[in-house]
Amino acid sequence: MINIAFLKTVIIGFILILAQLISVPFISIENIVPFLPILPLVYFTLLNGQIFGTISGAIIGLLFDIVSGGLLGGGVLALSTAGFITGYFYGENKSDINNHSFWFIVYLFMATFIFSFLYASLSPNNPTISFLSLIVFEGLLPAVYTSIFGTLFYLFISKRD
Amino acid sequence: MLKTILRYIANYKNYFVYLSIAIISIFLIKFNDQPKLRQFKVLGLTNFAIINYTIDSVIDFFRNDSEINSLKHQNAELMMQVNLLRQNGFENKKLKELISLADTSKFDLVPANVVSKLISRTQGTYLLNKGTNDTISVGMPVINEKGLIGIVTEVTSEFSVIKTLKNSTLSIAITIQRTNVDGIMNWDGKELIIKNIPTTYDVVPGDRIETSDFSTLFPPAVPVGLVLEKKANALGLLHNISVKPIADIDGAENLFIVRYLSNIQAMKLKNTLKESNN
Repeated sequence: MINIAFLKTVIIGFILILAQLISVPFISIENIVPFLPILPLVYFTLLNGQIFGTISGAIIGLLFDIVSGGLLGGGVLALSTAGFITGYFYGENKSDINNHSFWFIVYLFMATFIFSFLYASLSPNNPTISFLSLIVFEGLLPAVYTSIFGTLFYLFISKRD
Repeated sequence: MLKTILRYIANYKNYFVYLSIAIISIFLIKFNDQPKLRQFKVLGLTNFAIINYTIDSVIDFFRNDSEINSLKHQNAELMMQVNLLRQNGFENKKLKELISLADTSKFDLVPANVVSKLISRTQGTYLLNKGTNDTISVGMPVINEKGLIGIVTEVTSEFSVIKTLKNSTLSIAITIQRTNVDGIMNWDGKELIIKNIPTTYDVVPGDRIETSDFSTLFPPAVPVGLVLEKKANALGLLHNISVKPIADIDGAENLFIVRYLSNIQAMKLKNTLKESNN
């Protein structure tokens, strides 16, 4: 069961990585983009637990690093950390509350903030970029933008169920 | 003893898994520039770029823009020539005599399309569909019909990765065309900025900025941007100048790689040739 969920996460994650690199730049606002591959990671981590989130985060991160031509290892560490922390909110009896309520958006926001901030911090940066700027522009704003997409995803899931 | 260790690992397996992944990724980050890791990255990039490119081609199939592309190519060539002529005009006016310049008005431009974009506030990186098969090499500048976009940083046989002007690790030697004031421009996460220009220097909003003769990365006189505003720093003796890029970097789709090797690249190539001859 876990294997199917794992494959699902990685395959959906990979499709969203391609979408992220090909079409998402068209909807960037002041170079702030939503990070779509984190949606299946958060959703399935809340269903399957912390180890699942850590490993699938690492694999989606590795795929992202290779496909994007970015810093190899940066995506792995940032996404596995996001998956690991999201995994703290996993509970066998909580999947309904987690994935079918407002809390999904909250977890998504938190995971995207962790990913975006870590990924930006790990990448080679100009030393003049301030820590506050990294938190706000690289962490908070992409997290807000991704949460908007998360809300649409949440509405879609709720309607389907 | 072994049982205790195993029980300990089983109890804290979440942390062990995370720790192992974290250690592996830190090693990957640390040795990112190692030749073997670079080779792996290039191999992966080539394979995945083909997927990206196929999807992009399907999208492109529905829009016939060959004529637009050829006009853009022509525009880019003209832009480079016009800018050189403009620069020559300024020099002529200043020196009041004819200067015999080497004929550098012919630029060898390779048209390329953006296959994918990795956009963030500080890391502008694009993937283009031209590589070593088209004699593209690391260090070649990338322009569009309006001005400078970035520089090639990685090349595979069919694809190349470029750093755009909106990448905080790229610093460019520039000149303000009207007054020949030189400076170093880079992206600070919010805007392109030239730091520490003395307040006594004549710089006004709207001045054109181009690559400098002193640039070790780019050919001279490629249009970069326009002066947006001057901001005095704390002491009031120096200015920081914010720059609006001439080219639409975020919307870039059809680009041109200039077959130009910087002095550093040319020296490296020379040394490699020397070594291979010996």
